[in-house]
Amino acid sequence: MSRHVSRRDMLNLLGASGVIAGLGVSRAARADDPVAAPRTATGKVVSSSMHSPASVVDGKVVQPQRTLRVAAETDVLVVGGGPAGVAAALAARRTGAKVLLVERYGHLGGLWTGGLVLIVIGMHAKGPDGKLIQVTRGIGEEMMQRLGKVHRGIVNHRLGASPTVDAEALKYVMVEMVAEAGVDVLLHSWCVDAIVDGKTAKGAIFESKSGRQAILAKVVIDASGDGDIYAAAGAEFEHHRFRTGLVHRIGNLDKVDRAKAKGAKPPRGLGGLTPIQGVNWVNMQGPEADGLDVRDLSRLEMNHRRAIWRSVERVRQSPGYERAYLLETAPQLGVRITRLLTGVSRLTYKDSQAGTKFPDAIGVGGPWGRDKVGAWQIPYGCLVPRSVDGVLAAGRCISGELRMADLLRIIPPCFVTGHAAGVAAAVSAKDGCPPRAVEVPKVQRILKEQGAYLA
Amino acid sequence: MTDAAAQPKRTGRVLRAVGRCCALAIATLLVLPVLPAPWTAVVPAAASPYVAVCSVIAARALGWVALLALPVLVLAFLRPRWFCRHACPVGLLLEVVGWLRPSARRHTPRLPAIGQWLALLTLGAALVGYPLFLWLDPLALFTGFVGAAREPFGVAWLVGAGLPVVLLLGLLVPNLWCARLCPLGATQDLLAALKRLVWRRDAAPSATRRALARRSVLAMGMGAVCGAGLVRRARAAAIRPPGAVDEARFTGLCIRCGNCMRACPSEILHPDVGDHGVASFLTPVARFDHKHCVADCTACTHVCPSGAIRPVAPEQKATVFMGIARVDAELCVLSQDMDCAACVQACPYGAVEPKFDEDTYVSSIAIDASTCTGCGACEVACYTTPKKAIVVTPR
Repeated sequence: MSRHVSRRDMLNLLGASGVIAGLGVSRAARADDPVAAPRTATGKVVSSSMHSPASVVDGKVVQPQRTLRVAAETDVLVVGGGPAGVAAALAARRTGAKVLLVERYGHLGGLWTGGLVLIVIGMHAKGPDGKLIQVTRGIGEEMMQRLGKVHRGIVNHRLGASPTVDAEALKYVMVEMVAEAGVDVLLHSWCVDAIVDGKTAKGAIFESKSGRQAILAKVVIDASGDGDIYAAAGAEFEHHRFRTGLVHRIGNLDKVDRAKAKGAKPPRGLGGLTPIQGVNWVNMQGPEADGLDVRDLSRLEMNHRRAIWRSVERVRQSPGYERAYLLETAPQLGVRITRLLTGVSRLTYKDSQAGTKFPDAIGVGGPWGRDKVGAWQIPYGCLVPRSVDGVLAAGRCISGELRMADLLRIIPPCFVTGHAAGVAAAVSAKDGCPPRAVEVPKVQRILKEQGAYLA
Repeated sequence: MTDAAAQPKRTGRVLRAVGRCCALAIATLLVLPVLPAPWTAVVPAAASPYVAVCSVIAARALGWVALLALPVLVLAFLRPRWFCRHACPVGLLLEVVGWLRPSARRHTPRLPAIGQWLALLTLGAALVGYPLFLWLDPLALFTGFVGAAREPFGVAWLVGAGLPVVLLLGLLVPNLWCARLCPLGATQDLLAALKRLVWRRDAAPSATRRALARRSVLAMGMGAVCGAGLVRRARAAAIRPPGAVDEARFTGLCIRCGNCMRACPSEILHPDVGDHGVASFLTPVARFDHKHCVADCTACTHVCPSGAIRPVAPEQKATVFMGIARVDAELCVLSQDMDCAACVQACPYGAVEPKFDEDTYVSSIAIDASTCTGCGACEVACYTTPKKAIVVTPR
């Protein structure tokens, strides 16, 4: 295997090891060409001679200033392809906007698929008349309807129950829906920075195998879960440590020897059922950790994998459970809460308990327990950053106090806030006004037309 | 008798009747939530010097509520039994009941002064902190009855059952209650006797004095022994309203007027119907079926006429403990790795925290005993059915 090593590559290697630190090699100010060259002919030996890597200047690693290639210009850029991001992209597209959806993994669904958080809790609430109603409707419900039509897509999809989905079926359904709607999708792309003009977001920078590129957009929807883009754009937020776990699935539970297992208490860590017979998904709380600290994330990944292995071993040692096995661990760590936006409005737990009505309500959340009264409204102001324009939050990183965020982070509110952010962003792009100034009644009307439930 | 003499006498009778009706009306209005200030319900029962003296001694605390009894107390010294004849609402009702049976004997039944024994027993027991028969005060019975009319359904009516019993007694044996049983009337008699003893030593023959002294010592001694026994036997078994005195004395101090239960906007206070022993019968206990004791509410603490519940300032509320939350890990779904933090979110004091053991990888709920007030917010929020995984228990 031959490898062409250019002079610059060599310098880079040396520089990275600090050998030439302080030699005054300064290329920090040099402009560079965009990385992603047009399609290269296969097999041709090339040198990325136009690329300008970071270098060490006075003992500091410095990145050169460079002009980025604009990969796309769009009306609405959605960052993050989880339940909120996909709902937002579909909603914005259906409201008539040109939409680009950027996702860091190779599939859609976020923690719902990649995190194996397969259960959907809090879709229903008792109304004032004591009758159970479904409060999560619109695009989220549409996804679950479609899952109902595919083989082993969803179980317990009925009023009052908590549906549980199959991750693979869901990945497929989401791809179908996004493609049908005509949403442009970039996978394997990690949005790492915002593009701003003063206090207004104008797009985002993403990293991928194609290098660092820019996307310009009229409105950016931050459905990253961690508020990566609004934070980069300069919006105010709270940063929290929170319980961080890792989900796994166990197989062969349909092959438990009932006769042997009889009489004994079932072992811990069997989890809950999934659409696939004999396969359970097992949740994990995990310790409090900073989901924005890669050291924390790495440590937890390693500890959790060891703990999961031990847990499944314990299951296998229980009489009758010998054939159970660890089917898979989630590809994505279960980060629950990191950044919480400081929005125009801030939803409090008290609001949710008192059933506070908001004139700018864009959706409704439900309680977790089946017999509980108390649907709660989510105001549009919770999606709008107080201090920057051009960006809307959707999903778990919207504006709410911590204990409310623990309710907002689950899948149904993510559908709801994603759906609303998508419609609002499309309206904002079309009307040429910043998201904070959109006509909320218009957004509410379109949401209702798209099947959403607001009160 | 001439007309000239009869005229003022009739006028006096009419005036007295009008006055008594007014007293009844005012007492009723004070107990019913007609007036804008809910604390007015405290006034009728607190006006009783029997309740005031015994509860101040038993609770070892003097509040402004006890001062409400001062007018009747002073009056009892000046004009014995004036209150009974001119103002007592129960007295008026008994007289009206008496009219229903004009044939019944009108004179006083030949019985010992049981009321005085009750009052002295209670006073003696109050010295050790457990006023035995405080709940027999007629004004407390009246408050319980009128107040029960506000919510005539459910077990709350039990609290109002005392007055009907007294009225039934009045129908069977007229005059028995007022003359022989009523501890409030007897208290006034005792105060009058005390006055004679102190100011007019020659007025009472020495034999009467000796009998009274003997009775007092015997009754109070018995009361003290009984009270002390009950205080020692009492155990913390019930969740009481915030600001309640310790369980050992609460069941004695509580006059079962029902004011606290009616004052509670969350309707969590219910009369105990025998779940916590005989001594606790009809006293208020808190249940957290649908609502909890709200962090900024102190309503029930300002309507207690006997000091069984002490006034709590809103800023003190977080430090007034009703009980403590306890978790059954077998029932708690968080301990089974499910995502639930209902109790954590609901706790107004931040006393409920999820804990994760990094060695065993097991989650549990931890209660901070120094900040958990036992308000029940967690119990209400808990999703597990039919049994809650987190419940408030006595401290």
